[in-house]
Amino acid sequence: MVQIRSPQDFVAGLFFLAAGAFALYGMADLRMGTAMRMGPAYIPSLISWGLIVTGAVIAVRALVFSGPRLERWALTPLLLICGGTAAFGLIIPQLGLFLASVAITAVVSFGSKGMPLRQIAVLGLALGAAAVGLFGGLLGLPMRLWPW
Amino acid sequence: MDLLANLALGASVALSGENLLYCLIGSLLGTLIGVLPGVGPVATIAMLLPITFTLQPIGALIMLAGIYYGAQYGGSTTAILVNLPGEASSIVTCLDGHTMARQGRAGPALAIAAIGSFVAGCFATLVVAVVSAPLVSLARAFGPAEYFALMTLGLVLSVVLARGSPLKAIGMILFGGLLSLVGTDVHTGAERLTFGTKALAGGFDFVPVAMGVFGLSEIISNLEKGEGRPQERLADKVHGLMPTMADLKASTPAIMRGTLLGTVLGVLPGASSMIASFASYTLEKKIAKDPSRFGQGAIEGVAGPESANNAGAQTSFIPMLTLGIPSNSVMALMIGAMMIQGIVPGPQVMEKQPALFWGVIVSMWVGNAMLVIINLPLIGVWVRLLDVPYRLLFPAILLLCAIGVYSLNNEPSQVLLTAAAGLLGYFFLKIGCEPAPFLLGFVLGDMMEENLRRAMQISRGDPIAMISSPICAVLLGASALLILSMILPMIARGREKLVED
Repeated sequence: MVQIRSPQDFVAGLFFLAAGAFALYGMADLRMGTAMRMGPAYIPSLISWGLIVTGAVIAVRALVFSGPRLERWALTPLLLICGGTAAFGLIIPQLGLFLASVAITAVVSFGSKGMPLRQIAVLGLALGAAAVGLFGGLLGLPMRLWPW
Repeated sequence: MDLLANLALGASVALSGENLLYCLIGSLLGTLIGVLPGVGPVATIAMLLPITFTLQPIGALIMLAGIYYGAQYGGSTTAILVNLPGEASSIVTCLDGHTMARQGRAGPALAIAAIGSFVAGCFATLVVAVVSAPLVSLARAFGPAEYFALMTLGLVLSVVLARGSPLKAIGMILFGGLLSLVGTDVHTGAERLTFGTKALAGGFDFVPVAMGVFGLSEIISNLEKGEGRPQERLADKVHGLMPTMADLKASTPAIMRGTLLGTVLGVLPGASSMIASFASYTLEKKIAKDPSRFGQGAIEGVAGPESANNAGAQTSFIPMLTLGIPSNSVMALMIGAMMIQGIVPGPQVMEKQPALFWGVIVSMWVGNAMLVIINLPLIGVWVRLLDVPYRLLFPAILLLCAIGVYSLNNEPSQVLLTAAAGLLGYFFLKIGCEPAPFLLGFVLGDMMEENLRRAMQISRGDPIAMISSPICAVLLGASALLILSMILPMIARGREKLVED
């Protein structure tokens, strides 16, 4: 019976395989060209095939040799950190650096347990003020600082 | 002597009041950010990049170089005091450095790390100065085929030297290379893998990708490990800095060996300062009379790797300055910074802008001197920073990352890309894949495609013609040998393992 002996490697192999296959699919209507006059798809297709082969070998080896198991994902910090960063990017063009800084601090601080709301507020305001003072005032970077 | 004249020119640039100030600010800020747990040189430089935007090119590069040494120095401080390596190259410093700190000898460990780094920095800077000029003239003989072959060797080396599975490293390089080709193809104008989205037409930028994969995923994994903070306060244990005579006697040869090893390994494209420090630690342990002392607070285990690490950091500038090829992620950032300043890296920089070229080289030495003279007395201040709880620290770190990325071109999509890259970096962590080969592939991917295309055009599509150049033949031959030397034992081992099972 086929058994996955190295789950980490197996997932890694499938990931490379899928990435290569997906890229080939995405470039289906691009020209390959010849070795002398390479089209836009020439090198990316080579790389994709490389990914497919490498991924397949890794996945097959994972059925034979045993290796580390998959760990659980820490979803809360992952979502808060990535979400907070994304929120910063979405807020700053319209509402400015100060509010974006407050927002990113507020979002990610919920990730650390036992942080009182008031502390989060103080930290957010302090970091926002520092960011505006340093990057807007001192360095004069051309970015919106306030909503108005 | 050309070399002396060049160094004098460099000194006149680097020692001007303004540039000294930039060097000082750079190394101080670099240390300040680098000391923060979980922040390595790549994230530090990317965060501090915006502060150099308004400077002249020379000042900007000098400051960035200062930030780099500062960040590395700060990283070893964190490694020794709290056992939290900011980046891979400090991992070995933790082994004996942190043990020394727990034995109440944090002071000597920090001092030896600084002295070793300084000695290594002086020597490596000299090597950079001596080797650069001949390499630049060699680089003039380089056509696209040679560039392609050199980068191939770099990628192969990074696979051979990578920790963990070489197959996964290959996969990561290929994946990075594929991502670097997303966007508009410069030769034909065709859009590749953009799926019709406008934001992807320009391709992925290096800074958001590196920031996400290195910076964000590191923060997430720190949070995952609980507060990620040490319980013991070692800050109070830094009494005297002075190492004893016995310490110095034990460290001196280790510093020399580490310096030489790091200098050589740093030049190789694809070999980072991390590999230098690992190699040095292994060497010290092997030639020690009593290897069992290692891990128990052996000072050679700090002196050697720290010297190797810094020497490697210095000489990794060589391929970047002479050929315009980044040998690791830090150099890729440097190239990015040069481009922002309107300088195209490559062999022409030395001829067209000698003041910049030699100024940066001399400033490497100045930066190292500043770290010893100014930072060592300031250790108490850096240590206080480590007392700040992580829950207050990480929002600030993350905010700096976000501002750094956004300030590149005030493009919100770059910040969103950083968030996505953070997710990707975390996924890599969970499937046991090292991010370094991925970034190297990402950095070199489009450069290699460009050079291969041009080389094949010149040779009229004949791949054999590429090997007819002696430089190419040597570089590609070495790559092939390295691959064989890696694969053959792997197959043999595989057979054995199968038989055992």
